[in-house]
Amino acid sequence: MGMLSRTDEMILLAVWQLEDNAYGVTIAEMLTQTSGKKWVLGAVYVPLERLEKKGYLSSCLGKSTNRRGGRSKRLYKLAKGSLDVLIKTKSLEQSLWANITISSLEKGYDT
Amino acid sequence: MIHKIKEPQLSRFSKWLIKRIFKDKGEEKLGDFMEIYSTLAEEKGQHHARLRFWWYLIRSIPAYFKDSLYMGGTMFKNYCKLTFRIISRNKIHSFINIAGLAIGMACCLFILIWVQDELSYDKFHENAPYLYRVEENLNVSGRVYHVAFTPYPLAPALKADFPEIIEATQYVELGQGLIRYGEKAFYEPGIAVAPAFFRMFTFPFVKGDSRTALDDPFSMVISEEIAQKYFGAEDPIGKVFSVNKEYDMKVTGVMKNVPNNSYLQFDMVLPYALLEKLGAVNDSMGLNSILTFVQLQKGASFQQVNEKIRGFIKKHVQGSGIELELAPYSRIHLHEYFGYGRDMGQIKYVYIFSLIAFFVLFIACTNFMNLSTARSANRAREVGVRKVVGALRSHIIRQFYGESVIYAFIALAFAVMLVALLMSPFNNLSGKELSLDILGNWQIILGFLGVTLFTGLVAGSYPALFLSSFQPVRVIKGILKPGGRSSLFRRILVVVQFALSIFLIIGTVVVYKQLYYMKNRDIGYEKEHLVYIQMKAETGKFYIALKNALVRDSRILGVTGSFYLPSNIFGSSGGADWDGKYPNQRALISRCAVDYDFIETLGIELTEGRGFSREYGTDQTEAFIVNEEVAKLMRKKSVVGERFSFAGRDGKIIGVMKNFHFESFRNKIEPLAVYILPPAKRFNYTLIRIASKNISASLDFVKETWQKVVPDFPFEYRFLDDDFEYYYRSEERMGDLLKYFSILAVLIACLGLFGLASFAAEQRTKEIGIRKVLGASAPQITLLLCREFFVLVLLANIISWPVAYFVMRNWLQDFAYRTNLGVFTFVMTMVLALVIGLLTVSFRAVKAAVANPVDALKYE
Repeated sequence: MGMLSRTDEMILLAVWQLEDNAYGVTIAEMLTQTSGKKWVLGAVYVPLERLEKKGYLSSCLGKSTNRRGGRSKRLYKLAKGSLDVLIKTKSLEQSLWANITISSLEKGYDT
Repeated sequence: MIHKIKEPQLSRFSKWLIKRIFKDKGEEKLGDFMEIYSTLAEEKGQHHARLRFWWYLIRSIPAYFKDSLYMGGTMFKNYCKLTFRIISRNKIHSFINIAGLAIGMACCLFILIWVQDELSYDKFHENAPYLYRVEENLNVSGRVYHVAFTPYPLAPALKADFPEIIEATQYVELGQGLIRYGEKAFYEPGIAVAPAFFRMFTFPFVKGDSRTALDDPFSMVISEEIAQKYFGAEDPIGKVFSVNKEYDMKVTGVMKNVPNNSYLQFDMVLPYALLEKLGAVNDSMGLNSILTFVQLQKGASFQQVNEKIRGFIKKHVQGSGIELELAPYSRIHLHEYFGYGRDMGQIKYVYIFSLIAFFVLFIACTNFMNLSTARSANRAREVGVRKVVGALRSHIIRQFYGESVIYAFIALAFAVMLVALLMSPFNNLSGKELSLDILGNWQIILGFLGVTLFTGLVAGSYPALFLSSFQPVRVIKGILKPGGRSSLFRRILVVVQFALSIFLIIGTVVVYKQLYYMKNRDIGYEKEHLVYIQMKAETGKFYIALKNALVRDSRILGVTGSFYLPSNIFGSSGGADWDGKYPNQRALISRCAVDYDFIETLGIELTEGRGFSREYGTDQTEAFIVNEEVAKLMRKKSVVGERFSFAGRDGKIIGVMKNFHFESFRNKIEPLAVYILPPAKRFNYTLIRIASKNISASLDFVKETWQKVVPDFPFEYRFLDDDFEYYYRSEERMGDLLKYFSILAVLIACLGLFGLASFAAEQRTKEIGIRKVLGASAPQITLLLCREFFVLVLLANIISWPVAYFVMRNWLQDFAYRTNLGVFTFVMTMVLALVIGLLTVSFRAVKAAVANPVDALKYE
């Protein structure tokens, strides 16, 4: 399995963290909070659908509420494969960053 | 605190938009958006939320598309790259493809510009839909003659009698008058109209008030061109012109030059009231002399008014056979049947040329399809691979459509360049002053883009739909061979485009044949070395002095005067009478007042009787010379000496002229009577026959004499036979246009044929190699390759012959005197098409035939 793009990674992590309540609105909210950039619904649908097609995500229909005008939610869950790839990503990241601290980067090159 | 929340109130449009854009089948996304809306409503309140939500939705759309566009864009880039690679891989094929399309499109664009101009005639007047010309139907002995000329007092009478007619004006063409301002003096044609004219026809003014400019009988309105010519930078308003050295006219208005797409053309407008003051009008309702235009009330029914005014003349003139009819002004240019002494762009030509444009474009498209089909085998493998890798049929279709649209747009760029380059020759050809400025017109731009897109889609549809249906397994295994149906289709295309080219060639040949026939037909008098001077303005009164001064010289063989030019006698009258005429026989006879020596100077043959002579005192008032048609009308063996009453005089016939053509060859020779001009009237033309030797000296002598006899008026002359060119102009123009179109069509068809031939040669490379190894000679191979195309071109001939025969026979019906179509025309066209076709094919075939067979077979 190949590497994940940054967007895919962010979305998968958001879905994992949201547990049983990962659907369009909550995912967009979570991404907005963590990235500090406004994520609109339109921006999450395409990667969600792509990830589902690729087999990283699975989805089922959830409850409907009045606030949604009676329409049900599409709830996403991580598929088995995506857990493996997330682990791989995480370990790669850790090994990449192992000897680097933020403060050292902020200092820049010593002259 | 929990309270019940109402269902979010999204507008139907936003619901539709969300479903449409986000392909939301189960409405879960709609639900998400509703949730967002509910949150906004809770925070900001319903009213605010609505606006915020729209903003949110709008921001969502590009974010959604950005991602899918990225993938589309990658493929698009791939398609583009591929297109350009294919273009550069097959340079000859690509050149043929693009050049063919570009030429076809350039042709089409030219015609589009031309048609656009034709259709724009007279549409620029604010009141255009309500303007009508009053025309007359003259009923003469059962035949109805349709003329546009009406009586002088008709305009005010109609306006007074019919409330639906809210404006009416006379329109008098004044002929040329001598206009002088200071040192500058020129002959200028002018018109005289009622003050209502500029209220009806909104020709824009630069200076002065169009509503009141013609109120004073001695005021006039001029065009910017005239203003520039006489006054340069000075302000023309208030300047005074001397007209014909007789009266002074003050300039009260300057209008923009009348645009080319106006049916009425003039540079100088005088008030009709001036003519009344000068006594130059006739109050009779029975004459037809001038044009009358009316404006109907908005909402008035044209049919009803037409019905109401029909009998108007009959009410005023007892026993008149004249009925009035309205002709919509903005349709006159395209639909006028009989013409009004001008070069008419009839609707017929608009149709014909639109059809030709379509034909040429069709041929170009066919070519493109042909070549793409021919190369389908090469592309088939690509299609196969694409399909295996996962392309859907719709992807392939999109790819091929896209490719051919790219081709079409490259061709468009070339076509626009071609059009820009060839604009001035085209203007010469069409007699218009068109320019690419017309590109500023959004309709034209839309037309251009439409034509391109259409061309691209039509041209690409065959490869797109056909190639996309290939089964990848078969293609990659190499089972698929071009041939069978696709080969038949290619042959049909070649036949169709050759048939079209042959049709155009036959058309061109017939038009030129008819022109040749008309130009070389004996018109019935000697038109060479005949000079005429139009007696403009007041120069008519010097005619006798001029004649007397001229005839003394030996270089002048004859001088005579005439009311009309002998090549264009358009005056006619009914009401001729003779002994033995049927009581109810009405005859419309053309007439022309002439001088003594008319018959001799023109060299008209007399079949009977004598010419006019001063020795008979009665010739001045009584003598008529008629043509053979009149004699036929009178049904007598000999008509000389018969009583003949015509054109207001009671006299007898003294001679019969052999029929000569005094109108266009379109018309049959009609009955004609000539007589000596009454003393009170003046000749419009002086006709001078000069010796064929040393023409310039003779002309110099005529000029000197003129300057002596008629000082102050410029000397202008023309040769009568030069005018004949003018009469055939519309046929000549049609011939020229057809000629260029057929050249183009043949060129395009040849490009197509060449492309096909080289494809065939490539397909059969191995076959040719083997044949050569086994001993076939180069000529045999060439013959082998040419044979197929020979049959196709022959077939095209057979198809287009009957069509060309019927169409051209129909066209010739318009001419009373016409050439025959002739078998030779058809046979010659066939030979020509075969030679052109064979040359094209053999060009490629020879190359294939002389190629070294080793090259073809080395891979085996």
